Amino acid sequence: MNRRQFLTGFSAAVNAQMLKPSRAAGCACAPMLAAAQAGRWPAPRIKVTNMKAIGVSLTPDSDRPYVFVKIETDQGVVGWGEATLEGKAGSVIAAVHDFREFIVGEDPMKVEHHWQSMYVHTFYRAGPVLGSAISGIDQALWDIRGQVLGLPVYKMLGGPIHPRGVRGYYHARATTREQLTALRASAEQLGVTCFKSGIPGYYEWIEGRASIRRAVDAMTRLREGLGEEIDIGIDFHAKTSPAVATILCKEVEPLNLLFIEEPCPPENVKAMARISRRTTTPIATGERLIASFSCRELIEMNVVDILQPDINHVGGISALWKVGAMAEASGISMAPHACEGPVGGLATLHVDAAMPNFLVQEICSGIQPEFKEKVWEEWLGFPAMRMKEGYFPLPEKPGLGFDLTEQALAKYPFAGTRPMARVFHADGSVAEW
Amino acid sequence: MPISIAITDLSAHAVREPVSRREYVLVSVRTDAGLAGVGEAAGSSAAVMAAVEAAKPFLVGRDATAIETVRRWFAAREGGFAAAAAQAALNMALLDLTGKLARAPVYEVLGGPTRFKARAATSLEGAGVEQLRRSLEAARAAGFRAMIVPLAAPPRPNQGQAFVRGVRRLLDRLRQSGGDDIDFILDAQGALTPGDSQMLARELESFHLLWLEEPCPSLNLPAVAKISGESATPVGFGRAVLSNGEFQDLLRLDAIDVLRPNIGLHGITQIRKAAALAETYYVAVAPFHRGGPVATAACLHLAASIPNFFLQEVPLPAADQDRRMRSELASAPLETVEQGFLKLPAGPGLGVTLNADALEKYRAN
Repeated sequence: MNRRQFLTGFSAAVNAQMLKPSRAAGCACAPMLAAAQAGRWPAPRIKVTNMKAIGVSLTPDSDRPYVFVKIETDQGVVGWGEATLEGKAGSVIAAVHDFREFIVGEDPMKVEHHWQSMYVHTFYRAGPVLGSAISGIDQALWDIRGQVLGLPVYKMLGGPIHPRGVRGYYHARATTREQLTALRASAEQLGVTCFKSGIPGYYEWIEGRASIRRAVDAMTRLREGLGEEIDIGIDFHAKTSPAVATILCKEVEPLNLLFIEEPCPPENVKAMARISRRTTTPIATGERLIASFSCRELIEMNVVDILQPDINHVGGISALWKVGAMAEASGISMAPHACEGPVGGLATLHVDAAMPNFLVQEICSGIQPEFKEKVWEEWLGFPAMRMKEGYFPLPEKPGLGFDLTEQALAKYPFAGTRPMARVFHADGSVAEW
Repeated sequence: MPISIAITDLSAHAVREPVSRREYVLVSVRTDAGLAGVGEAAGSSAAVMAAVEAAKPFLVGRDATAIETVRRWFAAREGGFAAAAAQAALNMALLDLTGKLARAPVYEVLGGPTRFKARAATSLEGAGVEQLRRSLEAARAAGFRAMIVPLAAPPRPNQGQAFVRGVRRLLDRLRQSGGDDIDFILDAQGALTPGDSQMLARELESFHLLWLEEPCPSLNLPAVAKISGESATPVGFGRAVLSNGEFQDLLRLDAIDVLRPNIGLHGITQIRKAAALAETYYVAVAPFHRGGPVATAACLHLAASIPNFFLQEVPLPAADQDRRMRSELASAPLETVEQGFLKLPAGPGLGVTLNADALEKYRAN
């Protein structure tokens, strides 16, 4: 053996060693993973052969390219999930690829096991990049499980509760009296029972009368324009401080809104509790929360009336169902967020259909389909996430219940990561939007 | 394969073990696809049978997999323990059907397996060190490595040192004869005052119980919280709790280390939800189960579907006749323990086939 062969052999031996569990031995606390298991898993009837993260940009300048996860198996069954994280597409694609070793070659049926392993063995646990990657993989695994078992996902979860499907809402996208009157007429015609809207402008730490009046007037106009029968949610989008949010929530109490969403940013539960305590307007939040752990304090401290986790961030079907279970024990309703692509949207409907405490499902679309909705229909062959008589119909096929191909997506190639909107106050300082 | 099956009929059968006199109700749900599902309710009172019967008009004709609609129906009604037990049995039966429809074990329908075997424990029978020792030997020979020691209710509340030291001596002797690889759970059966419980919990800190089980009656939840708040001995609680809201309060109060929902009062789905709550408090689930073999199967599927399962108790009757009845009823070697662990049932569904002759032979009324 010459010197070169010796070195190659040596490095191969080192590499083989490193692939064993002892590779973590750089840390004194590294466990002997192999020794911990005594016994074996049943032989899998199906194995994962490949996992892809596919970026899709509907327009070249999109700040929220979709990230779809496709998992292939040795039985020909293919599962789809969505890991879209607005403004961070590249990071999520990388994070999905980082989980390759957790999934490829494994039994796709063990979805809770894989969820735990991805979350716990990442050591740092939560965070939106990790949460979104796990979400996409989790949805794709549920899609596969359903197809293997011959059941739609909602049936595996004990649904459907309502045969008509899942009640939903569109975004109002109407502000003037004329626009609102037209919207109300369309809603009556189409059977839509609920809308959501934002509040105008950006907000300083404390606001004076002019800004407060402008926001209250906008909300009042919505109620007057849409009438008593239609439910209205208002999204503050965390652009208000607790001080401003409290004033606004109190001012609009007589409007009996369905909820006010994200009245302040999500990190400080006590701050949101302070708003919630001082108003009877129901408070909703949750789209930025990752894993069921992040909802515990909101529930425990009686902060929220409605939780709105996003199936593409919270940890997929597995985590959304758990948040629903936790909320149910406290009488909190579920109104999941959905503002990304059609895969996550359709996945959410399955969980919604099986939650006794489900209230209403969002879709970030207007009452009339536009470009985005037409592309979705072109991909999936049916008007995905469009309501009939105010309800999203449930898929009847096994798994998530749709067919999607890479070829269909190829028309909208990934155009790279773009940041989300960046807004600034008059003095140049950073503002929330 | 059809993806909808409708319920056509259901029936409830109370059975009784010949020697232990332990009773439980087995519920069978039949469907238009020819498949039948089976479940088990805690207790065997006429009230449980009546509660199952009362749900029949709602259930017949309904989609057998729409499990949440059934629970909602029960949730909208009063009914206490009997209704809870009926709901539990129907939940198991409908999941059994869903699994059979999918030709898969229930744990696979629910996203498992999360493990390939389940750690086991059993309650010792008898009172006094000699009887308990013999029971421990039998349990050890049957493969168990974790023992639940029943604590005889003290004659008076607020016992002194004699009581506390007596319990400690009893446990020390059992550990001496059992060997170092045996773990213990002390089951106070809800019979102590919170004051007695916390003294005992402190005395047993150095004994390292797996947990102190149901130390006091469920008078109020802060009383339970006080016990675990004053000692490092883990506390398990919840056999009489009927709602996940109450489990949530126990967790919120940092009152417990092991959640003990009764399988025969909740069924699989509700305990999965309680487990989701417990997971966020880093608390384990070890379902309470003193019933029959169908509930054992339900427990094992549950164990293999949740991440925070810790241990499953399984009754091990002392009498041969009772053990024979359990295996005759379920016609599957469900309750075989090896080196302290139970195997997962294979399915489809719960993996249990009810034996009609045995139902008749062991009928309770």
